[in-house]
Amino acid sequence: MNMDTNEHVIDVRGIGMNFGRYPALSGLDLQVRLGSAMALLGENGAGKTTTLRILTNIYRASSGTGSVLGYPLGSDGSALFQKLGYVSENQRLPLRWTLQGLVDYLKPQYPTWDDAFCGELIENFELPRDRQLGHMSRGMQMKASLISSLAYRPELLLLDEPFSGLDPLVREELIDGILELMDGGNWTLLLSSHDIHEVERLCDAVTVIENGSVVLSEPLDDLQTRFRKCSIQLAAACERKDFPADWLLVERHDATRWSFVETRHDPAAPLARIQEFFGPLNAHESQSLSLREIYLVLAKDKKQRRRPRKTLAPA
Amino acid sequence: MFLHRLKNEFAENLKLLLALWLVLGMIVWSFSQWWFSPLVDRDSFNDAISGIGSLVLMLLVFFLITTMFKRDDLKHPQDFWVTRPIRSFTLFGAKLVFAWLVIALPCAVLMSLLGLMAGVGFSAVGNGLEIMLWAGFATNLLALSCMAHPGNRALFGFLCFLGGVIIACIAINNGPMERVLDSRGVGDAQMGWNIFIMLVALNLWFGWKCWQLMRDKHRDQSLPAMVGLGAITALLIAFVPLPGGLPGTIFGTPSTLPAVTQTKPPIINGNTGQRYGAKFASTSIELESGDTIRGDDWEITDTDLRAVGMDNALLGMDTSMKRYVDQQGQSLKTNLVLDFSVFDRQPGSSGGMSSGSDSRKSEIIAAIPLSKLRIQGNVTMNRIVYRELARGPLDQPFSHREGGIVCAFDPKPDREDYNTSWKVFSPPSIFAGGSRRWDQIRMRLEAPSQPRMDWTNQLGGNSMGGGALFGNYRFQATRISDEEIESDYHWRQFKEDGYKKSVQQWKKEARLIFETVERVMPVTVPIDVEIEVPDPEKVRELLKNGTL
Repeated sequence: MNMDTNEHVIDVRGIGMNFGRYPALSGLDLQVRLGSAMALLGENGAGKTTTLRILTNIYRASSGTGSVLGYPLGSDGSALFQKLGYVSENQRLPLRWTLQGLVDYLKPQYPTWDDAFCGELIENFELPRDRQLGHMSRGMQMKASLISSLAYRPELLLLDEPFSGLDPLVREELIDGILELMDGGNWTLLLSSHDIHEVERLCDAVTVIENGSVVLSEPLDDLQTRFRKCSIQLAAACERKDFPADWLLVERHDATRWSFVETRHDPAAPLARIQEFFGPLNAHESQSLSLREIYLVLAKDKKQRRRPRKTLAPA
Repeated sequence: MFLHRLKNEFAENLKLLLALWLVLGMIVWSFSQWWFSPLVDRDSFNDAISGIGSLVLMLLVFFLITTMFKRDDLKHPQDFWVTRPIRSFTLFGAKLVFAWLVIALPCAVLMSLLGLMAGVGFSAVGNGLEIMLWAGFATNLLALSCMAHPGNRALFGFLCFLGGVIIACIAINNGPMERVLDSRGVGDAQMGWNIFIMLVALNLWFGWKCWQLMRDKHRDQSLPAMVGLGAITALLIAFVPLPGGLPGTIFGTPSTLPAVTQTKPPIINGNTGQRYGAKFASTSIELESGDTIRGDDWEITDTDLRAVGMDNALLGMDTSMKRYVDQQGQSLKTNLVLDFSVFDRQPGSSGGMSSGSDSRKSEIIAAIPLSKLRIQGNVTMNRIVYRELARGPLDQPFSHREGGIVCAFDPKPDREDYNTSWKVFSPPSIFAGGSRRWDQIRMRLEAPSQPRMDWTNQLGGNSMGGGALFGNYRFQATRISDEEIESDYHWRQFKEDGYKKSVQQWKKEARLIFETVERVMPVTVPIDVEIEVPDPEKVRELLKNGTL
């Protein structure tokens, strides 16, 4: 199935999934465009791994529809897996096999298997072909897993916490490897990770999942454009508390000094909404946020929203 | 892709497979070593080796199958194959085919081959079929157990199922089932069909479950419920008697033969001692067939008799049976022994008879006028008809081979002893209803001029003998010395023969005869006879009050 770049490689809507009585996903919508590198962010238990497992047909969604690489969710999946690579921190490799054995076993199953590329990857990652996977370190196993998922040049690569528990050197090698690949072809990446710094290097789009639902999903540039940290000094004291819902972590430092995070910042009219709310300003400072900072803002905001709003008020 | 998987399974299990095939090869070799030698020099085929061989083979097969399925945890979401373009059908199907083709089929072929080597003929294929059925059942069950997640559910399901099958097999081969069958006049031999059908049904049931799994790797399997249903299926089939045996087996159709009945005068027994039930009289009914029974044997299986008119629970009749055999071990007649008792309280309650021990009471009981009592019911027994396989003099070796049976006789004049052996390759147990042919060989010693002087099974029961059971074949060897034969001769026959022949003369005339069971005829003897015993009511009054 050929897709153009405007098409969504992943397009699922209203996905629901329960583990017993406990909902893991509730009405999750996710669209990933061809050629993009999307990061899935969220707390532990937010539903990232469940989402990836539904996309790979490991789990069957209890509700919702959608497709991955044009194949409907829940379909047989053999054709899908010839175009999809999946690497997970929890994946159980056949540890009794050598790397070469793994390669030999997998090769006939992928029409697009690229021997030269596979050899290049093994060489780059400096892995011994004749060593049993069970006798390799965790980092080496992750590399082997990545090689076995890249050598057939998948159209879509799903990575579930691939850097978890790896030392910085191995992590760096893996990221560099993936970055090289991303440069070399029109691949789509969906990465679930807690390591926001690495995500920022790899991904150009972000989806944040909270309690099984997507709270935001957009290109990283757009996100960084609309999330701004504002510090203002008012001309006159303001006692208003009905702040716009898209202002997060609003803090009053004294009678006239406030700070907050704007989530719908408009570069064309940066002060319009602030002045509309607070009135004239004596001073204004606005700074962009890194992905890590944006994620922390969202996390803190979520935490605050669990408590009464009055705690935000100055003492 | 299927072949790729199959090839992969082969490569991964090569070491275990080689071990399995080595064991199979050793079995064939050891079998050929002693089967084709008519006279077995060794006293016994080594029990330990044969037993260990069978055990190793079974463990190896189970280990191999379990390892194979467990290696690729088919239902585990973290297994790498789940996100690879490998269909469940391919992965699981290849494993099943591998288990059947490379593990079960060689075992089945081996057993059929041994049957053919033994001369059983084409029916030896039945042995292979039986193995394939069991292997299929074991493979499916192990596969499903391995796939069930988590492990404790698998174990629970596995144990549930195993329990069900064991209960079903016990029911088929033992008491509960026999009682059901007896009431319908069906011999337990027919139950081979039940096991056969149970196996087929279980294979279909688990096969269907496996098929579902192959089609959809994401389907949750509820193993306990599944095996629970399987166990219920097994039990249901176990308790459905299927009339009619497999044609060609030694078991015939149930029949009824006329019986000569005879009452004997009661033996009065008043010296009862302190006991809950006081036995006061004993008598017997003698059963004797009108047919010539020499050479045949009788096996009593059941009695169901009642004394009409003794409905009072405080009066009881116990029955037992005694088979009379002549000095040659042949059944001539059977006595049904009837014991009459009175009780001082309802059976089941505790306490002793208060009358105490008083030998004088037997005289008083004897003085009680006899009253008539009618005994009605059925006695069932098997009449076993033997067929001669081979005979020969005691000073010449001989052997005989016939359809899965090899008999051999090897006198050792220098050592003054005699080796006898027989080897039997049994038909498939599921068709023979558990009655294997190795129980159905006997030897006789017979002197033509003295037809009553035939000794049955004396050699077979000799303590010097030994035997070995190995899969579906059996070896039995005995050794008996001149001294033992002579001693037996003197003990049994010398006096009756009037000392006319010396033991040496008798031994010259004597022939050793090997026989096998030709057919077993279940016989039901209806009993309806009037006997006389002291009036039980009066006896009870006497024992309770001390006086009439």
